[in-house]
Amino acid sequence: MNRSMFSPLDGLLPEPVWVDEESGTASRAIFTDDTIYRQEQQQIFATSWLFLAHETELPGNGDYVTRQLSNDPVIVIRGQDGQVRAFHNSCSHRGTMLCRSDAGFTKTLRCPYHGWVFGLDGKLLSAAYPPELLAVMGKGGEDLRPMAKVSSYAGLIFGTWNPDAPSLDEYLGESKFYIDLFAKRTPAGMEVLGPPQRWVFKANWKLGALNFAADGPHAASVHGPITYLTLSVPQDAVVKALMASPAIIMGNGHNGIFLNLPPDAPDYAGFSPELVSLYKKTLSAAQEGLMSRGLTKVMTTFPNTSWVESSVRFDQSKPPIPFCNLRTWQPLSAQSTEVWNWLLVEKEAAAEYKRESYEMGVRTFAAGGTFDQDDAEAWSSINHGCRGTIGSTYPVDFRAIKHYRDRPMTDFTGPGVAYPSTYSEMSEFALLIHWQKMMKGEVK
Amino acid sequence: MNTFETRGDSLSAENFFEVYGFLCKESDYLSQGDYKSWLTLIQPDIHYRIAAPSFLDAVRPRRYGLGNDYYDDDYATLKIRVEQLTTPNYSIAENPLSLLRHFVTNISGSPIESGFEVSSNVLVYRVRSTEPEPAIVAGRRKDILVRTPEGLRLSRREAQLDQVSLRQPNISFFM
Repeated sequence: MNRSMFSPLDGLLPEPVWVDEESGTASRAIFTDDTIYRQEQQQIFATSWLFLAHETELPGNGDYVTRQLSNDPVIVIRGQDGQVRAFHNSCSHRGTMLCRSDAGFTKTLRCPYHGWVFGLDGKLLSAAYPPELLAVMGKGGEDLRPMAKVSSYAGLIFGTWNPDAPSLDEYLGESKFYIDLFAKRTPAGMEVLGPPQRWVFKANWKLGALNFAADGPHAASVHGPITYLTLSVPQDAVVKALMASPAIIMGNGHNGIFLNLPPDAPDYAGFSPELVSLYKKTLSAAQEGLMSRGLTKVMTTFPNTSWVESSVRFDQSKPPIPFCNLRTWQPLSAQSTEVWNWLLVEKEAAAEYKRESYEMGVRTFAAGGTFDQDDAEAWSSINHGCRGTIGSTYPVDFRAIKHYRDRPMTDFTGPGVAYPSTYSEMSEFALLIHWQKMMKGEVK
Repeated sequence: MNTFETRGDSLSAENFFEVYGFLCKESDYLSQGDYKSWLTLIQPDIHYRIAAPSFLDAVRPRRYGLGNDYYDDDYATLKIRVEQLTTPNYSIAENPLSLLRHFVTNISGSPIESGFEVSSNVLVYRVRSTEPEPAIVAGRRKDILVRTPEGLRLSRREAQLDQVSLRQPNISFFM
């Protein structure tokens, strides 16, 4: 059976072409189809490294947080030995969700249904049965189902269900150079400013991941007005900055755009001088080159962890304050996504600065954020445009790549391959190309 | 993360109707998307917060960080939000405007030197152009209303929005 990418999908295709690299288009079904959703749960979410928590959410032994990875509940807990582990948050007996709090601390995990008790290492300590039954059942039950691997980089705890996954270090690869600019830029590193904020939009998770991989042109169209209201930067200047800034393909599906400061702006404009001296101590010369000339950094760590940092002000009498935003896009269904949204700040920062950065994050990229609110409505609108019978018969458009794909920058100093404009859509489309390779099992 | 508690229920009937009238007027402005009129009810020293709750174990609760606010605004920020929401073509989330209805109940409070400390419950019903099913959120509000020559004005609001995972794509409205 030979079906084109533009046919409505009612089953797995033998040779699917959802993303057409040559033409720069993609099937709309990738944003709406239940079969594709189930396949990407298997091919991508069950195999990739997924962001779980920040180490500062679990400062003490016995501290835990609960998370949802797609529709699977997960408990992330620091054991009495100080090691962080992650388990499917489900009793091995009847499947009951063990821990129903967002955060807490404990010495054991006790099932609310039959009272089975597990250690913080996931081992079954006691199955609540009399000895004669335990004699029949063997040791009495199974341990908790752990994530196959849990590992940290720069305070970021990731886990994977895939025992054959490469190391986190290898998985993040060259993107670590860029992650450092958000998360490993001072000697002590970052801390969370609070628990994650959560909200749901009715559209596919990839729309968020792509937007942060990142979609340059929308920044002028969607965020031009609020950029003007807050920073007094007119829309044509936003377009100019977006046109003159790199889109970076970092490898392994990780992608981003890094907006440059205008040439006449001083180095590190918008950053706190006290922290800048720490950046200079911590970052490499190549990293500093990018950081010091950076206005806005946006990036997606494949598949569904994204970053944005910028400096904004709402009061014209005060200087802009940076916020550092980290989020995951959890697929609840093909057409529904839960955002988990954290704000980070340097541990070394003064208490007043932390407060100001927190307020700026809440006011910009959060459920009530003046930038986020318009994005979510645009993605809901894409869902309307793609979900119907006719909607699934023609593609979405990334054809700007045709103008740029043979013109990588030659003077870019960071790792990966950079293209000279965020309007190139190169880094955004690269996420979809990697996604398709994962879906077909061509890359692990 | 509430930082002040309203004290008791000692509003006289006259005070109650004055407070009730203010909260109804405010709700009507918010429900009609008349944010410019709403802003005239706000004092320049406003601290306007809407916080997210957490589900915590009753025996071993653990909180961390500075909080989890949906809004943490001063007057300059509220003014920009109002400009964003009311300037044609500046908002995608609220163009067309959400259909909103604010229901305010359980009002109690007490007189203070500058005016009143007031607690109330609010229920916000919302239908967006891209989502025909209504979304409903409730919250508890603690306000300080100050007496001015123009009447009562809002100088402080701390609301808790009663949903841990918000089942809406954004909060481009006030509560």
